[in-house]
Amino acid sequence: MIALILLILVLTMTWMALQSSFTLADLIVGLLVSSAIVAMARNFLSIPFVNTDLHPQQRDRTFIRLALKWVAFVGFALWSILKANIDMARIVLFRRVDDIRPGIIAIPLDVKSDAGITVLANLITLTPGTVSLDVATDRRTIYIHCIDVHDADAIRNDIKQQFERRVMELLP
Amino acid sequence: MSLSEIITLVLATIGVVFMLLAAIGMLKLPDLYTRVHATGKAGTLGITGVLLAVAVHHGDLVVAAKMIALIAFFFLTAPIAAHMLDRAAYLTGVKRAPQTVQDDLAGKYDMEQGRLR
Repeated sequence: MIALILLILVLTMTWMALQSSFTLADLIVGLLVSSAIVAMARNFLSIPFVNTDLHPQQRDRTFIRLALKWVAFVGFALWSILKANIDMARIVLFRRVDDIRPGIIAIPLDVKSDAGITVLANLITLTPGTVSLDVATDRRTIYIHCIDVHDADAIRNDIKQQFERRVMELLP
Repeated sequence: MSLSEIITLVLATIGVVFMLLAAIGMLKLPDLYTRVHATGKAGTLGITGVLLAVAVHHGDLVVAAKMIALIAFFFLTAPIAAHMLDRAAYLTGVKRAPQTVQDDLAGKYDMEQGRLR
């Protein structure tokens, strides 16, 4: 309960900072909006996003190294997204529609945590020619729709080596 | 023209071009699943370009903070929208284009409950 009240206060502060005006009216509107948001999101807030028991080598990970890895990861993600857009542009502009070979392929998952799977699925959707469709109930497989399946194994390898390896380092 | 005007123009142009590409993809690609690729990806970069252009144009830290927050939210939500669209389409049996070559998901769904076996 205290955490929720604190969350409402932080959201209200953010609201007023973004409005860049700190009047009583802003405070009241901010409190109302934040309370509504927290009330709606309440059921999901109790679910821990990062499963802490899955972090094996917590000791030799200093905070700074972890932070740097996150920065590198975000940079890598943005770079992949840029590449994805250029790839997509090339397909849309220059490929004949009869030449593309869409398909759904299964990829085995090594990432175990909820957060890891979420980040990986989002990254897959944002990057070249792939959209995540669903994760198997036993969480061992992710199914993706691929706009151009010329070589399913190459795509599988690419996602496992490039994306999953990086996600594993941060959120196993 | 000042430097910030040039940067604004370049960013806005990149954004609008990618949105145009998303629209072309929407018309050109053969089925729902491939169209989601076009809008889900070209759309994100398009929005990013336009919002960054707004931030540079105003040259104001508060505006920039708002735009960066918007971009972050868009990057968080766009993939989920794409994923839910694709999944709902698959579950309700939307037809795939005839050139589709592979479907590892065939027969894996419990259609009545809408979840994977």
